[in-house]
Amino acid sequence: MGVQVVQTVCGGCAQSDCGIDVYVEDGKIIGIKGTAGHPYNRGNICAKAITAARIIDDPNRIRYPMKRAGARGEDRWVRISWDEALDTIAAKLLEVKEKYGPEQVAILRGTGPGWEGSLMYHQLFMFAFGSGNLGCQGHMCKFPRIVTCATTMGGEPDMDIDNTRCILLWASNPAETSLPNYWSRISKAKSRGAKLIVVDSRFSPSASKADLYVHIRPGTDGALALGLAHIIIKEGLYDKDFVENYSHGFEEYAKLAMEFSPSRVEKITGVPEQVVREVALTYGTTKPAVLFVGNGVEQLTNTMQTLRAIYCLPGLTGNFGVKGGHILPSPLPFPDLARKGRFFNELLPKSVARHPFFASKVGGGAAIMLSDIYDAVLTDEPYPLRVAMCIGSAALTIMPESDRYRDLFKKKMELIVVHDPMMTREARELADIVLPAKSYLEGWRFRFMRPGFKGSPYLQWVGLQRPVVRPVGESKSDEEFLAALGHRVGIGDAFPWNDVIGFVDDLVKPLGITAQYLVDNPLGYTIQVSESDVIGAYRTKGFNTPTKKFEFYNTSFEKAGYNPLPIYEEPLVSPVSQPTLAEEYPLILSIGIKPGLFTHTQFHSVELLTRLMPEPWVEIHPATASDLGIVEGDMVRVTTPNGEATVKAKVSEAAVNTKMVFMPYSWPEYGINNLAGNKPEDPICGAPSTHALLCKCRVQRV
Amino acid sequence: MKAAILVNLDMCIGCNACVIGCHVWKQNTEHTRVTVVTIGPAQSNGRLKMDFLPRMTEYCTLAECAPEPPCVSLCPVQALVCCDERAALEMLSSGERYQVSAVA
Repeated sequence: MGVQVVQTVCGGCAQSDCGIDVYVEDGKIIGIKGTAGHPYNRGNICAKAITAARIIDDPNRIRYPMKRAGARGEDRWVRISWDEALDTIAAKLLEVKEKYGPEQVAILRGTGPGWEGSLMYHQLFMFAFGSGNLGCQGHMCKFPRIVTCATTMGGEPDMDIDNTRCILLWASNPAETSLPNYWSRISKAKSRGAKLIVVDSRFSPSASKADLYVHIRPGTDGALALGLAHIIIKEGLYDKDFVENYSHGFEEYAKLAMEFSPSRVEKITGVPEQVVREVALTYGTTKPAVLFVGNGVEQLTNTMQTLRAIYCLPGLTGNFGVKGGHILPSPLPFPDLARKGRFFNELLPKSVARHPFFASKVGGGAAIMLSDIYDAVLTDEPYPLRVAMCIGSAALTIMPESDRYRDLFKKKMELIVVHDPMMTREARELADIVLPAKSYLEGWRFRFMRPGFKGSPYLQWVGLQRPVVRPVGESKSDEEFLAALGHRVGIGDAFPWNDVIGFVDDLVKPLGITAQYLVDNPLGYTIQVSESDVIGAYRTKGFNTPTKKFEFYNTSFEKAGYNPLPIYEEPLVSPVSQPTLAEEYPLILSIGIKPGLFTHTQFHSVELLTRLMPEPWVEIHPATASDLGIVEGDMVRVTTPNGEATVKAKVSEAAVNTKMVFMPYSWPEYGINNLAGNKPEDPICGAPSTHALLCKCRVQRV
Repeated sequence: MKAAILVNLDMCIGCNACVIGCHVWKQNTEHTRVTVVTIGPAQSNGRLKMDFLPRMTEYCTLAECAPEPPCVSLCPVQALVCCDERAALEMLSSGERYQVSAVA
């Protein structure tokens, strides 16, 4: 048999819809390339995708269901059948439902299975079973953006990078984290003369390509955004027609912005006055412009108002609804097969969510936040959780204080199930039953381009990820596992399809296609959105907000008891807010480095990748390193009030500031995440502070 | 005429797709044939700068791989170019920031 090429969709990171050509010979993958004609990545893929075949024969794969032989955490296992595993889990689920109520069953969901089709199955299962406690990490990922945009402008717009003249990247490093899609488009835009401004505490690879790089003290981004508005308004650079006719609350917003003079902004943020001015004038006069926000501002105690301040800027400058700016296409008309309506109306109020307003605005991502689940496990309030199913999730490995919560889960849960391709820490240290999951090269999964992740606003796309090789051992996809479990716990009606293809068929019907069409067409189904349908559409349709306008003054926030204006508040963990603590912990730490070779904890067992980046590090400015007697390669103990971690020193000006150090959080065995606490948190979304911490560094020599 | 691989320093972001692409597609994991050198970050003319330079090592089989080596065709930002010497000389004097990654 010769070489076959199978076209499918990559699942190597949670945002990717990259088309990949997988070359297979005798059932073995020999290599992967990007699919040239795919609308999302246009032939480009990253290093992770090229080497993805390595996850098939990873020795760490779970090959068949197992139950623990010894005590929890002993890591001794006995092979069982899928039937036994499912019967055992179903019996416990039904017992808990009967005795205490279905909501005491929780799912901890990670980004491993991707979003889209897989998430809908999680929702289907939980909402039919009767529990709203489907926990995800959205509060410290993209959900703050989603909720900010939903309440400010009625939905999350896409950025028309291909037609823009100015790109403002804010706390975002797509050269590493969104390479085949966003960065390749940004790179092309740069080649044809678009300006790139990067605001980021760390000098990242993306920052190294900027025409203007702006270093900022972590957590003060909101003050800079208001400072930019200050100058743009004062200089008369704002879009008067948009502001007058299509916005709500401009006067109050402008009044707030007037409090943020360049000199005050310099004092707060550390960004020199003339640089604040340069950013404002460049962004304010180079039209059209897009701005692009990353997780750097989504893991702070002032995340939501910071995002609000940033996302007011496209409205202020008239970059909303224009070619080359931010455009909001209509969402795809999928039927609510996952019964999200039941979640929002009935299950969310009965869940353990402490941020119900936030969770009620996340739209398609109907779920609650993992930090709320942790709180419930810690306090047994509003009720104890008794069963945890970790599905494609390393939540108890890399979220803040995971050591502490892992212990709590271990002590308190009546049943812990882990469904994952790999023997994760959750599997080894917590699970009662482990179940083998298919990787994205082994099964069918529905995929669609989600709003804000498309790279181009003129595209809508749906497609299927398909099996390229035979599943490893007895692996089942999330969809197969949850449907099989559903049939055993009396909610078989929720899964009327023979397989995921049947589900997809019902889902794509409103698009006028069938699942079979997607099976037959590996490039999927692309809907080209015409420019005339989306550009300036707000002029006739208005905005999907309570006032039908772009809300500088956020009436949804006001109704929920939050400040309707994008106020700046000093981050709760900082030398300014905690001066006494800062005497003992004098450095500002961000554990937010995301190396492009890995996706969170994933791919850390792929030798070709770890060879390039074998271990995590702490990035320290040369002057600071010299003061502390640290040289490149020294082992350094980094301590915060929450914990400590010892890693190698990387002495680098990427740290930019002598008061700042940076670390990557994703290595599963180093516990760097334990340097951050689950509290304090953003009051609206519950985001913890991982990008603004206080620490001290000490060299460890033997 | 010899073949060359050039890199556009304004485009390379040091993502290592070339390194991994060579390992996977040349089915050679023993030797590293491409390595990405980071220059900086450091202050230069009052600005913080950093460049990434893919360099082919002594194990590189460019003559055999040209004109379409996987390191070049898999570059997700099209920073790498494989061409002959004459084209290489033209690009090097074009005013764009091209550097030689390999000649063979």
